Amino acid sequence: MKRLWFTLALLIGSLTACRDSFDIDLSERPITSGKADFTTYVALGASLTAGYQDGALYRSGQQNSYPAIIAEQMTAAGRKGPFKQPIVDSEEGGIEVSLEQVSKKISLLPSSAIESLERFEFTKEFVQQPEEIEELESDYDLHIFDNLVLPKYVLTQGEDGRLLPQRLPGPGRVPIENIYEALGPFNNMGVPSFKSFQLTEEMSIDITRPYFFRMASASGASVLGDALKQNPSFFSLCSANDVFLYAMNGGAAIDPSERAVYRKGEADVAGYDMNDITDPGVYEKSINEILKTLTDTDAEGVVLNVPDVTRIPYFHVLKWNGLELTAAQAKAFNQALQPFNDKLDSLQAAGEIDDAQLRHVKFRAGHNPYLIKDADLKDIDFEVEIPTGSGQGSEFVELSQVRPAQASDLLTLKAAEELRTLASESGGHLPAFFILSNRFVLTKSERKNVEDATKRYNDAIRSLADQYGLALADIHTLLNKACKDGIRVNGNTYTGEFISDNSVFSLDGIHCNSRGYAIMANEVIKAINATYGSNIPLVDPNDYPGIAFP
Amino acid sequence: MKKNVFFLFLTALLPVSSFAGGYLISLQGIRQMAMGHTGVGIAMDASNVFFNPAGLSYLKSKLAVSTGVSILWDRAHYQNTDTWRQYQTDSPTGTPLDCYAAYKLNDRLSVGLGFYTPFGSQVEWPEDWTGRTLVTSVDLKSLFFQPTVSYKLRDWLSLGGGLIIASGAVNLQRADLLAAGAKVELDKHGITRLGYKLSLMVKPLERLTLGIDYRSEIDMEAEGGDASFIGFPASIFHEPSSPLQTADDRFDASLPLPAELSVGLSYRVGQKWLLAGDLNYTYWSAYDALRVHFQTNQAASFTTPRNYENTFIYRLGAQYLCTPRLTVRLGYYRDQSPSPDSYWSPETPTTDNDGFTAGFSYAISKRLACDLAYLYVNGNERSVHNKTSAFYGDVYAQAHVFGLGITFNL
Repeated sequence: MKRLWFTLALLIGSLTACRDSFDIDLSERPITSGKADFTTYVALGASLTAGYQDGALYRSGQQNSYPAIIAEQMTAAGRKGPFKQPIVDSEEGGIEVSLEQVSKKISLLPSSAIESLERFEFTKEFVQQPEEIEELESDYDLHIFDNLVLPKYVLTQGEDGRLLPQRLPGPGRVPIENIYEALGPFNNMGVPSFKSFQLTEEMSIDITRPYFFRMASASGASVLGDALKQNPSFFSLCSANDVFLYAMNGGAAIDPSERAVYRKGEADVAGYDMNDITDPGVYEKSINEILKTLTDTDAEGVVLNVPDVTRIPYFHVLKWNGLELTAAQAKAFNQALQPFNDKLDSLQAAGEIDDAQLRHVKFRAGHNPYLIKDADLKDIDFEVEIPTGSGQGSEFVELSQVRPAQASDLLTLKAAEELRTLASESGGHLPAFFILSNRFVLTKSERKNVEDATKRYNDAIRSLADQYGLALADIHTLLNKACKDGIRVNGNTYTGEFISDNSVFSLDGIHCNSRGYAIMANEVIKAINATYGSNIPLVDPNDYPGIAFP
Repeated sequence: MKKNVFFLFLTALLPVSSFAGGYLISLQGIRQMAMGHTGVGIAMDASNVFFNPAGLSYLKSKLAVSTGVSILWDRAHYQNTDTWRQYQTDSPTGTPLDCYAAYKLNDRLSVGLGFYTPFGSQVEWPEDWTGRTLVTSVDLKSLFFQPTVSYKLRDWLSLGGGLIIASGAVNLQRADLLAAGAKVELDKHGITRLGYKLSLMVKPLERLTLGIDYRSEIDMEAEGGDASFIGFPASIFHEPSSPLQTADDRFDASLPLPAELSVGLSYRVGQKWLLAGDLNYTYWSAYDALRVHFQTNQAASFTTPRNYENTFIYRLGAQYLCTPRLTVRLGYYRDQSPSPDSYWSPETPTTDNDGFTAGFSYAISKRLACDLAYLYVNGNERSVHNKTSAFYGDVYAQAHVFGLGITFNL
């Protein structure tokens, strides 16, 4: 009997001794920085770094920028102080750039800023016609800021139930002003639109660079200089605009009637158009300068490579052959275009062109390729008379460098927007005949430029990261994976779809949404941990907001 | 009418938690529970209706009744190996009930009846936890009603069998990331399906009893259950290309309650000791995938592989007659998880389990005994990585169960 009680007691004793925790309890594991020092983290880059999403900078978007997410996670590994960002303090976002706004604080502005504003206003006064003013303003929007300062896109539901992104109307919600004195210096030195060589350039404060205008320590400062001033112990660097702007503008220059150029071998950036592809040599030199300067002060860091811009939804919303025509329309156009096809044949027979086949237009009922302007084509100086959609009268259409789109042509999201604008102008239906200009299409040869530059930039980044012993975050592969197979995270699959709760991309089709930035942040943290032996925990991307549905 | 009685019983039935392999519960008899839930090779009491109906005809009393209630606390713990976050289930205390009766018509023939709950699962994960898009809450209930017959062919051989009328109800909830607070709820009750039980008991030696018991698979098909898409932005139901076209849909799904083959033996040592061992083989491979088909929101239908594997449960138990009134019991079992690491899913947070049991019976009178049992389940820590859903991390579970029963013999 005694023995039995003893056995019972032993059993109960061993049960209560059962450990109520994991073998390796991660809640008790110390978070360490490894060989790195995260005390002061500064992020350099452009819009991706700034947390730009839905076509704007806005408060919660910036709060979920990948540097902010990384900084938050680094705090347990020794990062000190707040992670300061030049927050555009509005959920609708955007910067209002106007003389009235600025004039109130004019005494605080450096003279260069006032001059640039005055130039804008002055030009406006000299243009008399209202439509010209509109044109000028839209030129400013489009060319100088590239829609950079407008409020964000939101999803709206049309009559037919379709959800479409639409910009909130009106100017940016936050008046332009320099906030360095009040809120700086900024740990997030991501300046939307900036290219690699602009990060090292000392430049005046000027409204044509509205985000630098806000955050610069002084006129004549540089991003690198302002970063360096903070004595960063750790930095991240991401520079992709050197090729992104070219792609997003379909290989067109700031003046969309001109072509942008791949400046391979041309080191003099002063001659570059804003949309030109930076010479890979210049790119490498700029990145090298940043890395050298920062590592000379013993900072450690991580470099992000350049994503494959051609995969993002911006180029996959509008299909090359999405033009719907009725049998009657197709017939009418084919008739009207007969002289064009004949002209091509005769030019080909005369040996003046060799691509008549490529340019021939033959419509049929149903899906047809859009007609595009391809600046690679020889200018044949030709126009035809096309009947208008209403059946009343006709118009002359320039076809000198026009061909039907092919599967290898990428039509931009801006082209889709343009088509919607055209449709709404003509009462809900697309005008029967139109041509997508150069800036709406990234043709095969332009894609080659983009791919070549991206590859060269990434080769340079890899060897420089090696050379300086820095971590390399391969967001190129990461985003391609999202677009191709999807990335699975805790039960959810993230894709490169355009408007979807599963997408890593925001409503501008280019930049990530907050979930996408969280996935990016995880990739960067993994690279940091692998290189420096730190063990910063990752975040759960599902905790971050995706696209907001109305 | 009969159906309504089931439902009444079912709604009266309090939730049952899951802590055994899969969603199988091992609490079908308080005395057997105290002996590691052995019982296939023992003619113990009326709960042989569950363990081995063939044993009913070996019961000595004319009328045997045994009923039991268990009170259980269980908790599954999860930690994500990348974010280092930890979560645990906060499942309500479950109280499964069992009730059996057996009546000896003559020396050879006995009949029996049982209500019991061999399957069930109630799991509640925190609303904000890592796997919320997979599951936030599961409530699976089943109630088996089993008329049973047992026939003694020889003094050393008897046969038994029963018809199982199974009722079930399921409620599953998961969060959706489309909007903060959005969730999908699947609910179906009043499922009724049939199954059967066949068994055999042999006494080759005076002191040795062997038993074999087979329970058939029962496929709980939920047809036309309610599927609610709660907290979704209205716009999503109006977008023509959206997979969701209505917030109130119906769904079809099915969940197999797997077949089980059990063999057991018991051996009497002296006058006071009884030793028992059981082996259960559960045909879990029937649960190959969770398929949910929405009748209107068809594009949102999903199939997620589960690829459960057949498992063994090894059980050992001992009983010692201390005094004529007091019987003490001890036991242990080892229960394998049917879910492979690469298909593991948190709606059934299964682990390999070690169950330690103890208990006693006290005879209040010649006819009436009160049974007590305690079970501690240590759900072994495991590292899971579901390749389909990309859910991964470390998991372990624990459960404490107290059982209280009454046995009546006439």
